[in-house]
Amino acid sequence: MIYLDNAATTKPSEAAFKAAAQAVECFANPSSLYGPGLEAQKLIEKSKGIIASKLGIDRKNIFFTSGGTEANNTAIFGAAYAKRRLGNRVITTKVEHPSVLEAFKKLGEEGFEVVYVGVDENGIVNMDELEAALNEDTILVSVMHVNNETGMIMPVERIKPMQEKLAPKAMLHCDCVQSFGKLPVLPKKWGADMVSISAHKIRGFKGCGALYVRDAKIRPLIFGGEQQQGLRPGTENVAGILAFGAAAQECDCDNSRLLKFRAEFEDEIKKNIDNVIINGTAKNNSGSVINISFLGIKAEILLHALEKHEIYVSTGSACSSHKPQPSHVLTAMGKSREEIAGAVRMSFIEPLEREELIYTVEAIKKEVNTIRRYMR
Amino acid sequence: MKEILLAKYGEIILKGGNRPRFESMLMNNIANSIKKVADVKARLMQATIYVDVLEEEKTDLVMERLAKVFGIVSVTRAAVCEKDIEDIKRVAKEYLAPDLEAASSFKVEAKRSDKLFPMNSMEISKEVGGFLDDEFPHIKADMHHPERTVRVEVRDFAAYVYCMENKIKGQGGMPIGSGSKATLLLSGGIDSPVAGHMIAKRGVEIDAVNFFSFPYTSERAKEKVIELASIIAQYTSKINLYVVPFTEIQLAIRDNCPEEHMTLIMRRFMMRISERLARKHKSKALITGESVGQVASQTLAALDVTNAVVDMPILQPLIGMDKIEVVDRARELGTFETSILPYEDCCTVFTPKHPTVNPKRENIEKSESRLDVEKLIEEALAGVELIEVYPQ
Repeated sequence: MIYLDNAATTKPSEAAFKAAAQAVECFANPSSLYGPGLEAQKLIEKSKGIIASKLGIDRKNIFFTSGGTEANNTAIFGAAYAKRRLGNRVITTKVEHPSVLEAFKKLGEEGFEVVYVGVDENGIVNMDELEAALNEDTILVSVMHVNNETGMIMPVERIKPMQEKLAPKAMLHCDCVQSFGKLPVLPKKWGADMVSISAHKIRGFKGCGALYVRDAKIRPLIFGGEQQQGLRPGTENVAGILAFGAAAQECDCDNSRLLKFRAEFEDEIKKNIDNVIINGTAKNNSGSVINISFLGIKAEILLHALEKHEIYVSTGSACSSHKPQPSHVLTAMGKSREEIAGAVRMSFIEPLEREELIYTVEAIKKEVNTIRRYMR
Repeated sequence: MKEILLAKYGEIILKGGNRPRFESMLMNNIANSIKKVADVKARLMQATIYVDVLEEEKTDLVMERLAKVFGIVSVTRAAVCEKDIEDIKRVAKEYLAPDLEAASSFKVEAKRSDKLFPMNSMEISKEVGGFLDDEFPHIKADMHHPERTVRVEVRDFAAYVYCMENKIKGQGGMPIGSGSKATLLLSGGIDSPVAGHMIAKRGVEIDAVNFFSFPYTSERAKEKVIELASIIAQYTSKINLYVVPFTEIQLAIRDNCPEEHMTLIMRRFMMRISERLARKHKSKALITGESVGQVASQTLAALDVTNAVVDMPILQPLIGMDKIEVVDRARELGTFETSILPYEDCCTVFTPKHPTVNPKRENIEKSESRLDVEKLIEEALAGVELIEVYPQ
């Protein structure tokens, strides 16, 4: 099996599995006052410490959630509701993950003024447009670090200086679900107030994510006990959190090998197959995603044809493949209908195998030729 | 106080010599549809099936299942009384209290099939009505527009009381098995499940055939068809689904035949393959979901071309229905939500831009002659996969 859909999810690592298993012996409720409870709490803190050090922040600023979607929702609603008295404008981009876009849509329905900033033809957020959208009334800016469909890196480090000048009351949120563990995610350096990350994108388990929140207070979305300073109450997902820590430990946040692999992939594809367009560029790319339009085919047919070779790829993101609408990301990049219809996403994680790359390109070549013949 | 379910059957009553056979089929089908759900005792007397649900908390579930068994026209809960007018009154008061307290008018209807009972129907109605009128002073007797109709039935072994308003409608029709077997061409769309249900309702056992064009349609599209079959199986108890690999045939048509004839030739293959499967599995007819003029391949000329290749009755129960009527039925049946899942659109690869709407047999036959029809059919039949589908 050649799994090339690592932006959708990844196979849990051996270390993550072992770490999660600790939660069986150490099963007590981390909030319980007796020894075993404290032991569970300590394991959580250790995991939190690993993740915090990868982010270059303090452990106390990490809040575990049920995943990336909840982290994004907590950040967006939490900040918007907390700052409502100070202003009414919230800003994001047109290429965010649905868990951000849908949250902003809801804010719009509730009376917030929502501004969606566009991207250039390579999928990078248009900074002039963002700058023009910032004003005194702005309370929240949410821009993703790496796009899940194209792998393009947004210049998030340039936002805070602009914000300080033009929108001093605004909080900055970055969805780093696709970048954490693969390249440096540095909230302090960027001046980000909130950062969302997720375990199952880096070989942890599904059902666990985290939100970094700098000192500013945001409003909780759910209410209950006193866990996690009341911002995200509920008994912690101990197994998921321990696995998250173990998975993060194995990440070196260096994407140079990914970039090299992606470049090779791009070369091989271009060498072997005509009429392909790479969506996004090698420059400013995380290296973890390559998005290719095979002109004259429907991407879903290629996806199923590759299944026969036990190669698994995706059309758009897994979260939006249930609905037949064209990719909002490629649409925002100004891609044509034909380019969008034929767009396939392949996403990588280490270890990377060159033989798999060659085998995959061969299979794609064969299937694309067959499908093109019948789609005339 | 003991409660029981009374299920009444319809059309079977009208049958002559076959009636006992149909009754035993119905009892078998009831047993099959309920056995996995709850433990019951069911017996049939005088056109009524008495179902004693041994696990009381499952009564509602059993009722729902009974209402889906073809042949049954209605199901109701009833309280069992001794065949004694005082006991009937006592039970009626206790059992019907919630219904009568919520209403402002009522009447009593009695039926006596045991002619040895000392009172006749009129007398029973009067006696029970008068009693309830006294016991529930707020509620008035009203013979013409009562809010509640209390029904008293004095039968062979016991008497029963219930409120007519609590009766639920069954499917009607004839018990499955009374009308041999037919083979349904089941796509993932809205129409074919409805067509299958309509024929099954006439007592016909159903086999289904689906044509699968991987990778042009996905595994999920196949799962969707299985899901649809399992919804129909709630009414028919089990369906044998034959999945036919169809990609090679579609590619051969695409390579060799004019684009505007593609759909019709494809459908002729589907009909031929379905007929062979039907004959092999002792099915007497094919069922399809066509309605005249719905799409290019469903004009009368197109139906002539597709049906010409089969020597077997083709049942098309939706033939005179509008789409909107079919959609309503699909909603009632519970297949609509599944049918509209978007997984099958890949197949549009093989849809011509300008299909022929007024085809002639000779032209299609000529286009088709470029293919080795027999060989393609044999190959497809060799790859058929049988999936046994049970109710969810």
